[in-house]
Amino acid sequence: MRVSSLSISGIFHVAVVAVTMLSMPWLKKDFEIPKPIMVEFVEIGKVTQTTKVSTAPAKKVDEKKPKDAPPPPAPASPSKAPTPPPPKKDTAKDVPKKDTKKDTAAKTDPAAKPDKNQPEKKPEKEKAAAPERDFGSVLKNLADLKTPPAAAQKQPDMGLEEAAPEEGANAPLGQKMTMSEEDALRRQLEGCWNVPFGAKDAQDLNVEIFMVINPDRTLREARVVNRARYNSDTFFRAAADSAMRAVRSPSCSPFALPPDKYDVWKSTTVNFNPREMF
Amino acid sequence: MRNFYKILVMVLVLGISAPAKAELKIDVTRGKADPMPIAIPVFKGGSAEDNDMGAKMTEVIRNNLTGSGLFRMLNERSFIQDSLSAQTAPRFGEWRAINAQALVTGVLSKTGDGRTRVEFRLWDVFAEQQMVGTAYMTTPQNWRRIAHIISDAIYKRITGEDGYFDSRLVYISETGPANARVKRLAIMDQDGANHRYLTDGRTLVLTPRFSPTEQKITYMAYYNNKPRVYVYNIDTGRQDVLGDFPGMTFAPRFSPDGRKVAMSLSKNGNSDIYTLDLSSRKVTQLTRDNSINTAPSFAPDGSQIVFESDRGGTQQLYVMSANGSGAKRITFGDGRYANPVWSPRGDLIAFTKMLKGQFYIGVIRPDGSGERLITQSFHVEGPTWSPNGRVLAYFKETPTGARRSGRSAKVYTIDLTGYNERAVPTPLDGSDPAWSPLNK
Repeated sequence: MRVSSLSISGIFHVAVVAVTMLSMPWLKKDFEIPKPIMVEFVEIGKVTQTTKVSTAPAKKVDEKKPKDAPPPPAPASPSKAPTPPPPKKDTAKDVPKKDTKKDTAAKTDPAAKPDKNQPEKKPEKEKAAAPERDFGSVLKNLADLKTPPAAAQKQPDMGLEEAAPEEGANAPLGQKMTMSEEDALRRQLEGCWNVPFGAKDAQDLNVEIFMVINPDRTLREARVVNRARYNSDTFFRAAADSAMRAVRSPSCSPFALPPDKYDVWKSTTVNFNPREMF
Repeated sequence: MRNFYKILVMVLVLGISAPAKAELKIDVTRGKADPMPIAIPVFKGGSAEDNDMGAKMTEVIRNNLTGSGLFRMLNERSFIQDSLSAQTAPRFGEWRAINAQALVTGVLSKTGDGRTRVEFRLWDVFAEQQMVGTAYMTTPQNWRRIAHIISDAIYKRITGEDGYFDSRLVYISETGPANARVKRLAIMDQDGANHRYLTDGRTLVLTPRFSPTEQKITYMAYYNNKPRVYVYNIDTGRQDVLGDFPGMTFAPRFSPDGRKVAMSLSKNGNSDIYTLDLSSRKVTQLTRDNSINTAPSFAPDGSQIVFESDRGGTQQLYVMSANGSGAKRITFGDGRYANPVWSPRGDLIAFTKMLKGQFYIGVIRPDGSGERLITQSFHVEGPTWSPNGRVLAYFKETPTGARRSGRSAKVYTIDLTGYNERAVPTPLDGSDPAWSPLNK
C-alpha cells in the first residue's frame, strides 16, 4: 500500500515536471526572453569598462545600426579588447625617453623605476595603460615633463578602435545601457570627483557607492557599500566621503542617464578608484 | 489544476531570476585633481576682542589650508551667512550655490576665568551634516596655536591623515658674505611665525635634526674648530656633545623612538655609520667597508636604515636593516643621490639628486620603485618631511649679484604632488630645515 502510494506520488511528480517542460509552450515564451538578456547584460558591463568613447559620435552609431549587429560579435569584441596588453608594454616603452633610461636601470635591478611601474601592477585592465601616461601629471615628475604628449595622441586611436565593433554589437538589445550611455555617466562623475591625491597608496583606494536614483535622474539615496571599513579606517572614510561628494554634487545632478531606461539604472553601483591618475 | 501549476512554475522561475536582476555598475577610474572648494567665514565672537582674535585665527586657518594645496578658499564676498548664524543652522542650499563643498564656522566666547572658548564646526555641504565639531579653551595669547590645531582637525577629517600645521621648523639662519657667513640655529612655526634664534652665531652649526619624540634637536657644530654632533634641548637651552669619538662626527639623525642617534664617523678618509644609544652611550658600528657611508635615516618602524654610499662606484642610496646587515642598493638612475630621508608615513624616501649640473629633490619607494623628481634648481638640497609625510621642506640657493657670485638661500615647502611649492618667510637667508613632529 505504502509502496503504491509512493510510486503514485513519484509518477505524479515526474508527470508534473514533464508537463511543465514539454507541454506548456506558453511558459517557455514568457521566460525565454529574459534569460539571454541577463547574460548579454553582464557581458556588456565588462565590455563597457574596457573602452573609452567620445560620447557624441558614439550615440549616433548606436541609433543608426541597431539591427545589423547579431549577438555573436558581442563576445568577439571583448576578446578583441583584451588583446592590446602586448601593445601596452611597447607603448609604455616608447613614450617618454626617460622611461627607456629607467628601463635599462630596471634590467640591472627591479628597482629604480619611476611612476610607470604602477600600470604594471594592474595588468588586468589593459586599456588603463593609455590614460595612465596621459594623466600621470597628478603627481609631478620632472623627468616626465621633458617628454610630453605621445600618449595623448595615442589614446583616442585606441578608444575608437576598440569602440567601433562593440557598439554595433550592443546596439540592438533593448533595455540596457549602451557603452556610450555608461560612458556619459562615467565622464560626468569624473568631472565631479575631487580625487584624494597625495594620500598614501591612493592608487589602490577602492570605494563602492550604491545609489538609488529617482526617475527624474536625481539622487534619492547613496551609501558607502563597505560600511565597516568606513567606520574603522579614517583614510578610507575620507576617500569615501570624496566619492559621496561626487555623486551628491550639484554639477552631477541630474545624472547623465537615458530617461527611458529607468529600470536599468534606478539602482546603480559606482566603483571609485583613481588608478588611472597615478 | 493547470492554473495552479502555471502559477507555481511562474513563481519558481521569477524567484530564481529576481535576485539576478542586475543593477548598473560603473567604474570611475579618474577624477579631478583640483583642490577642494571650502568656505570659511570669519570666526565671530561677542566682543570686539573676540572678533579681532577670530579674524586673526581665520586668516591663519585659511593660509594653512590653502598652503597645503588641497583646498581652494572661496571668496568671502560671495558668502551669504556669517559664522554666528551658520554655526547653528547653515543654509546648505545657499552654500552649495556658491560651489562650497565644505564649510567651516567658528564662534568665540569668554569663559568665567578669562580664557577664550573657540568652538568650530566643519560641515559637509552636500551631505548637509556636520563632520567635526570641537571646542577649545585657551588663553588669548595662544590663538595662533589653536588656529593651527583647528587647521589640523579640518585637514584630518577631509584627508583621513593627520595634519602638520601645529608643528615647527628649525633651520640654519645665514647672513654675511660668502667667506664669512654667520650661521645660527633658529626655530619657527611651520608657517614662519614665532621666529627665534637658538644659537648666537659664534659657532658654525649645520644639519639640525628634530627628535621625533622630544623637544630636542641634534646637529653638527664646529666648536673650537672641531666638528662634533651635539644635542640641544629647546626647553632648557642645554647643549651636550654626543659621544667621544676620535674622528669627526656628522650627519646625525634620531631613531624613531628618540633613544638613539645614527651618524657618520670619519676616520682616515673613510666614513662609516654608527648608532649611539642616548641613555647607555653605547656605540654600535653598522657599516664596515672602505667606502664612504653616510646620511643614515631610520624607517619609521625603526627596522631599517637608508643611507648613501659610494661602495658601488658612484654615490647611491642603500637600505639596510637597523643592525647593519643586508644592505641593498635602491637607486640606479643617472646622476648621484644623497641625503635620503625616510618619510614618517613609511611609504617614500626623499633624496637630493645631482644630475648634469642641476640639483633635484625627489622621492622613491623603499624598494627602489616609483622614483619621481619633484623640484629642481641650480642648488636645492636637504629635504625634510612634515610630520604626516605629505609635504617636504628643503632649501634652495640662487646666485645673486652682478656676476652671480653671491648666494641667497631660502627655505621652501612642496607637497607630494610637486605642484605646490611655497617659500617659508624667514628674516634672513635660511638653509637646512628640519621639521618637528606635531607639537604636544
